[in-house]
Amino acid sequence: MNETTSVGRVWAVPARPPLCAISVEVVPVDLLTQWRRCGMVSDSLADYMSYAFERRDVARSILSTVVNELVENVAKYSADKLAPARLSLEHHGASLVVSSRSVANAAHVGALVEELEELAAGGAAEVFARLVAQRRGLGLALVASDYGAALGATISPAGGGLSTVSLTAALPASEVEQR
Amino acid sequence: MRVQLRIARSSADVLACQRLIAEVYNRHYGVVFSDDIYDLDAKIEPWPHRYLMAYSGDDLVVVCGLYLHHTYVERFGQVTDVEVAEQLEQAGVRGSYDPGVRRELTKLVVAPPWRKLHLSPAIIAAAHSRDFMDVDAACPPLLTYCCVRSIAEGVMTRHGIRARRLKPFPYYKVHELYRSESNPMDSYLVIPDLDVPAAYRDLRIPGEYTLDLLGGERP
Repeated sequence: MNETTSVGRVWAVPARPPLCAISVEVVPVDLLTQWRRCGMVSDSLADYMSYAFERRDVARSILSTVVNELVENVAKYSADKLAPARLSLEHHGASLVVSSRSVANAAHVGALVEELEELAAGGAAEVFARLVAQRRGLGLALVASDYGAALGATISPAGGGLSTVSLTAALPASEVEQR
Repeated sequence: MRVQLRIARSSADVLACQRLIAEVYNRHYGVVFSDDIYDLDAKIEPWPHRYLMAYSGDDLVVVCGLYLHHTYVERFGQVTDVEVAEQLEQAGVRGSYDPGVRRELTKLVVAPPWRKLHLSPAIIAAAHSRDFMDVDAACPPLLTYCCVRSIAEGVMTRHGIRARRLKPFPYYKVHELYRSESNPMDSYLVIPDLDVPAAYRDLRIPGEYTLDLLGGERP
């Protein structure tokens, strides 16, 4: 890709700052060496944000699940496992936005684009069923189908055939409130 | 080429070994690791307990792991103490080893810049050294591997090491990019006193060696 492109349902960053936010940088190889760290990072971000909700346990559980999918994605698909990747969780009132930024190779970008376009076309259930049949990771399809998350990415050239991928999953706050 | 061999002792050593293994295994096989969870169908593998490090100058060039217990062949290869005892019986050394005391060489990786030098055969042969293989052992352990046939019957044989095939290794998703129909994966047993040349058993670690002494650069 020679220029920045957007795929899927990209979260439009609002003018107002988030009501609550936390972000971390991780080095992907640290996650590969101890896979449990994916859960630790996810739980930490979710725990931090859960205090914005009345039913903290419910919020923590949902947010941790969604964040974990993006953390695992970053670990598996970062092209340079030693280059820090960024993960964040923001509360924007009507939406909770989980995002990641990492550098990926062309093969992964191609697969991600295909999946995001399919999900954006309203095929979360179909994508989910296909991945189950193929015994592949359910990650993003699960987030879209179970929590109604809008998934999108902006992809910019990073040189050397690589791309910087900024992936967002925007969840309706009502899914997390569960009042 | 000269390499310094030593066993990883500090947390920095262990992290350096794990980083190298994780990077290479993830790139080639899509595998990740954990100390406290494993799931071969989800491609999450358990870490070895000890590591042999080969340095060239300041560069860590090869790492080889060792399970001290709960070996891969017993956990996932369904190899039993009875099957090992039968092998010892056939070899005439039934009383010399406890069939339940086994260790396993695993996760041999070469740092990417050094791959073309074919260092791994010499280092895996050196890993049969008593100083590494028997580290912290109360009695002489047996050795197992699970690997593809080209390693067990190619690399090992070339170094005079006899790997006794125990049984085919079951299929797990984690090995889908490693094994193939033409290069199947099996569990193997090595009886150190019978199957490993003294030159490797007696190799002192830590120590500095030329690759020639370890069996040559090229397989």
